[in-house]
Amino acid sequence: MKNDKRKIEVRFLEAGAGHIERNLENDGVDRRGFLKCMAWAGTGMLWTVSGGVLASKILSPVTAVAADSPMRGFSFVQISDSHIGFNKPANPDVIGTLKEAIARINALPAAPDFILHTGDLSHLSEAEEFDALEQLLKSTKAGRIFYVPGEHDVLNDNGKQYRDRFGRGSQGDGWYSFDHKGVHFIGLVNVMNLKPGGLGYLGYDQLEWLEDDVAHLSDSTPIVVFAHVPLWTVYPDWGWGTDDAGQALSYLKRFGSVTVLNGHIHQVQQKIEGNVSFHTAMSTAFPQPRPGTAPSPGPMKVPADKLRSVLGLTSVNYVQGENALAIVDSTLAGS
Amino acid sequence: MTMNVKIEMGPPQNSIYPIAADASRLHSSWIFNKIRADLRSRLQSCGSLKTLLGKLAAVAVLFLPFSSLAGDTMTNSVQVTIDNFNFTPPALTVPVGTKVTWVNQDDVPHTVTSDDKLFGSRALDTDDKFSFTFQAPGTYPYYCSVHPKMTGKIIVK
Repeated sequence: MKNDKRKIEVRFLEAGAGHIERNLENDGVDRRGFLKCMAWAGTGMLWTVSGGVLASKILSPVTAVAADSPMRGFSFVQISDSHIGFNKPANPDVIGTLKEAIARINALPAAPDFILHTGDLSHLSEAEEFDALEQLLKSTKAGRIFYVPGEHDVLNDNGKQYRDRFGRGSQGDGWYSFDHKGVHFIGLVNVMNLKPGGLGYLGYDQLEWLEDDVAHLSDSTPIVVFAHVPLWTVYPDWGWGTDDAGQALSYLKRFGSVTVLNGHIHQVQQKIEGNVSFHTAMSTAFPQPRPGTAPSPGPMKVPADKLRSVLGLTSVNYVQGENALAIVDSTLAGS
Repeated sequence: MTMNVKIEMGPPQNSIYPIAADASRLHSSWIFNKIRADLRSRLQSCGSLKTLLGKLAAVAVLFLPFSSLAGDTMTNSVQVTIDNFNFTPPALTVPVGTKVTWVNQDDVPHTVTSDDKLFGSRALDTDDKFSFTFQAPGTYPYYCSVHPKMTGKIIVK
């Protein structure tokens, strides 16, 4: 049984690495780089937009130096999967770890223009959980926080409370777009109206809206799409994908730079396909196992003294030809 | 000898406690006669509708356990566990009238949501339960609306 699990993991890693290898001339990522990337863990990501190309860096003292250097463009931060209300192993203090992530954001020499929260703000969609998250994030030095819901935010009421609090001015189940300094940001909802046996789901109405939303944009407009569940198929057996993401991505094919930011799987996974870069972010609450390495995708239990190191232990340096896509991580403990 | 053959060859018993069931039938009819006699005397002496209704309720309460033991309106209770993002057993066959209870043993919330919305739970946190009694034969597929890869079905015969 143990051997079987290992086989599944290796197969997955090789499949992922193989994909990157096929794009070697485009992104300069080799198999070793990808595997390092798979093991990457952290608590928050700083995205820097420079010349239309996004570079992600985990928040750390190293990043602080990098962020201090002159850059064209702007920066923003992505955090994800705060799960306020979760109180079980391996993290009985999800508020504490969110506070630590916020402290890192506030320690950046240049405040990010805004924060994207890619869903699962709460664990059980309870009012007090949303309250706590809202209050905590008020202490960030970012100008604004943009949200998309995770499946944990739309329990019992089809997301009404979430939309009332965090989705004002959005369309449908909570999707919207905005422009910031030449970049077009699109927040999508793929956690509603899920079909038996299916994956994440965008639905006809949202797809129609998306097609219309980008119709007026020039091909050279950098696009950032953010949604909770990955918009690429990471591991369908665990529901880590979105059934109709292909349709959404077809509307974005003509654009020169598309970056897709997701959460949900509580670990970093990356894939580059043509002009589209896919990334998933860490959770601020608890880790989840790598695909196929556990009986289920439930919270991964680690000893209390290991929690922060699991959240941010492995470092990755990720350099892409002339368009640098540099990722540097650190532990939540700060090493 | 004859009795032994009868037990071995006979049709399945309604109750797993045939002797107890027989005893309860005797007991039932004895109680019924007692209450009927009591009702008759009270109706004659009082005639109050309220008393009659109260007595009828008492009759119903007294009869329920015995009739279910006798097997003619038996209510089963069966449990489905939710563990490691699975419904166990994923397919469950039960007789009409069975109350199925789902128990979430995972660290994350799940729901029990019928495909055709015939029944559905709120989000069940760890150790939360949801029950539904199936009154009509049929196949009832369901899933977790939070993790729709999780599916199961109840077959009612």
